[in-house]
Amino acid sequence: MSLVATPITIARYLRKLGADTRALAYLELDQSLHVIASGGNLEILGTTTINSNKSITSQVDILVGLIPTGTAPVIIANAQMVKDRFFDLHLFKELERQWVLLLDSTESARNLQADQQVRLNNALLLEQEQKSEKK
Amino acid sequence: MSILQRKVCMLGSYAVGKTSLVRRYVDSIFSETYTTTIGVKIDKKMVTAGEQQLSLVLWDVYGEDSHQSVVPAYLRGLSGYILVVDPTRETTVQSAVKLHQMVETNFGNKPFVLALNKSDLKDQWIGEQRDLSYLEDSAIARIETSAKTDTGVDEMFDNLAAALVPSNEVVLE
Ligand SMILES: Nc1nc2c(ncn2[C@@H]2O[C@H](COP(=O)(O)OP(=O)(O)OP(=O)(O)O)[C@@H](O)[C@H]2O)c(=O)[nH]1
Ligand SMILES: [Mg+2]
Repeated sequence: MSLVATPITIARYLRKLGADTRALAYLELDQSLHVIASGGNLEILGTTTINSNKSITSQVDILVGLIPTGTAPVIIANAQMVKDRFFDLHLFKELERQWVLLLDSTESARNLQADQQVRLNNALLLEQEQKSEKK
Repeated sequence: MSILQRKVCMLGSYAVGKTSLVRRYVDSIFSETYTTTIGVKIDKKMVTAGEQQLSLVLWDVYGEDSHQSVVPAYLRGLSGYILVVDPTRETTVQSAVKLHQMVETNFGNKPFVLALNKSDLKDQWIGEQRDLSYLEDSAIARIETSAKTDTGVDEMFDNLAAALVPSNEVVLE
């Protein structure tokens, strides 16, 4: 996402988070959850064209039930809509606007996946051993 | 009639078959290989419950294990959930109880279907059990499923969908 075109609200949020380089895309929504502005790579949400005349929740599945939020950010880590493309979803309200921000987390998710796979394969093995000892 | 959208979460211990059930339901495929889920994978499936068209937004959330619990943010705005147990592993029943209570504490009473998965391995299932009976009593339905042999999978989602249409929602609340 080009930071030149980033709205001030998003730029400020990213700076506070120290996550400028991971920014992928954003949406700015009005009170009826229609898109006012957007930027970046929205393909990661599984859609390429967003219709500003329709509520965003009817177009982007992951947002169903999640918005509107309050001013305190709601964060969903490592979400995946398109296979193997991970993002952190940040949702918050500021001055009657609902903001949706996507941060790339593909690389860290991939590492996490590898670690978790080893850990859980081992945990399953251990469970099986304990079960056969009991018998 | 307009299409209703409903968020549905797959919840359970690790390796009980949450992802496999969604893959079977959405893509009609099954794999023996275990690929653990990180974060959440979103899918969608259209169903009809009576006259009503429903779009189920499926949240295939990472499983509970000794290192990590499911955090409530993932469940925000859920309408219902599938609670998955692998009855070949007794510990998965305790995880399911914990998750069920977590939902109740944070989001109140939401309809859920209890899925006893891996019914193709029924000879290895544990027997009657107190925690399992407790879950069976709280669930809107208890369904024996196998993602492997495609048993009970559609039935499981159909049961939940039926509980998510407005006329039934009123009764539940
Ligand atoms: N025999 C049998 N194996 C199954 C069935 N469903 C899933 N499995 C196997 O169980 C293992 C775990 O399945 P997953 O669907 O990845 O489990 P999960 O609950 O999504 O696991 P996490 O994402 O780690 O929480 C895989 O090796 C699957 O092939 C089933 O109905 N029968
Ligand atoms: Mg999974």
